Amino acid sequence: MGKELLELQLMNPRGETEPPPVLAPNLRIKDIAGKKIGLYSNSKPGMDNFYTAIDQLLKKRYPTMTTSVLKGSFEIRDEEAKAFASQIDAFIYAVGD
Amino acid sequence: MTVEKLGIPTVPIVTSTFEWPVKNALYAKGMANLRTVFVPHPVAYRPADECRDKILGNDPITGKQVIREIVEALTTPLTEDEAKTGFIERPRERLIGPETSEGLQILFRENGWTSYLPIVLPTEEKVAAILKGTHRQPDEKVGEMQPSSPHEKWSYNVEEVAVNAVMAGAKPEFLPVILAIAATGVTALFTSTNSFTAMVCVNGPIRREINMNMSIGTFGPFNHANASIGNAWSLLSRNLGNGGAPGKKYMGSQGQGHNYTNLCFAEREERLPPGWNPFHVQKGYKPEDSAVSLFHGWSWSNLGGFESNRSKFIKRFFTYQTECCGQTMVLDPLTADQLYKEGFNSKEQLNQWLKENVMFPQEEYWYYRGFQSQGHPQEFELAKKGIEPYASWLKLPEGAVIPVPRGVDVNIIVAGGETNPYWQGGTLQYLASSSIDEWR
Repeated sequence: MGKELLELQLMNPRGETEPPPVLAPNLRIKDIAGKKIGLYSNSKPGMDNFYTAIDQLLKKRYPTMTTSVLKGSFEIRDEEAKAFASQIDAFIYAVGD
Repeated sequence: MTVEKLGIPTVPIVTSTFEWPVKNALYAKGMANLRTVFVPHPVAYRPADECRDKILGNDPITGKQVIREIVEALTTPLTEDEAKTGFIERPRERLIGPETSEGLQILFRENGWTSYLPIVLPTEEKVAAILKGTHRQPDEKVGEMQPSSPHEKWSYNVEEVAVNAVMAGAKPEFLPVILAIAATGVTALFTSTNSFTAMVCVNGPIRREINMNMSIGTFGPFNHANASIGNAWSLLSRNLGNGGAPGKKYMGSQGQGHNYTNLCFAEREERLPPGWNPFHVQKGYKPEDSAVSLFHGWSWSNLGGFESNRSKFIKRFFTYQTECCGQTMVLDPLTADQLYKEGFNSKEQLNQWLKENVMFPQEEYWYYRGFQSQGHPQEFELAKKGIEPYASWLKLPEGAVIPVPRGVDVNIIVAGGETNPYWQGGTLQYLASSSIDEWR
């Protein structure tokens, strides 16, 4: 007769919280032409070069488009986002390293 | 996502290495369907023409041209799937098993719930036993933690911290220290691509009560309290702080060996030179209080030397420590004694001297490195115009020192076994202190 192995129950070490509800993105803009596009730079080295390139390439295709660049800390703060959102039609947010 | 929630159509552009962290962050904010564009990694420090090529090139995830994808992400109407709203079910079972002990060790390890070493299995009996180490109720909230913003913050209670403390091999009398650490919400497993070192310093009477090591082998694998408290911090950072998943919530390119137990130690308050206060007293606690203080940063070095003028050596070390995130040193008592003999009658006096005398290396003075070093653009313009002293400074060779104080603050702690006048130091930033006594 084989020895029966003791089985245990353990307490779960994990602490996943309830996820937020799923939201749908906003309706998209119809066209880039004539719109003001916001760009946020978190001041990491290279951001200026990256946004300069985006700005130039989009303006070449959509000459009536304008851009507005906001520079800030690693993540855009709520009050900054609110103020910025009131000035723009769409937003490009580049992150990475 | 913040701007998207304010009603403005948004497209995040992310370097491809961060695909999973970004998808996790979007999920955590309820925006899993937000269109994201990826570019080849990295972008940091890359010249303008390379950035341009990346935008004209293809998204490494979808294969589509990046510039075209950006426009489509902002202008193409949402699909039916993208426009869906609702709730995600994520149930959590309180108990796991039944299973054999070997099977549970494997399960916990393969789920990424451990440091990949055997754990003390957290049975209900063991958790009940360790909870005797605190007067607080099991269901009482302790804090919230995230590996970095914008990852999802998880919240946790006393019982959940206790489960992880059992896994780390802690005794009930260590639990108040672990709860104090958890209460700060500071993670030991910061997300960054740089593999952060984390440190926890314990002050006050509890050091002796639980027999922490602050003498020979302070930072080494030689003490139950030091090892299990440090390991518990890593486990709860992983299991309760939503951290420690490589490629998703942990991006440290090479990883950090310190994270097994972190630099967990106690300050040797009894061997502070006269006039040198314990670290927690510097942070506003009374000497008879017990407290933890937490730090993290990029680099940590082990330094020795037998120079008579120790302060000069320390000054030279910090001159070239220009990386993230702050400056900290832990001095063997013999080194602290040397500095006291040099005339530093307090930690504050030594810190002030370093603030005034740690200068800029030539390259760091001029070179813009983003948030670490802003460079000196106005002075650079003056230098180009031949205005002194900037013009002469610009001609100095790389490695030379510009006579401008960096104003660095250095956190100073004393611990060690006095076998030699050594010290350890690096770019660790002070993050938070927390009362241990509140959790007894």
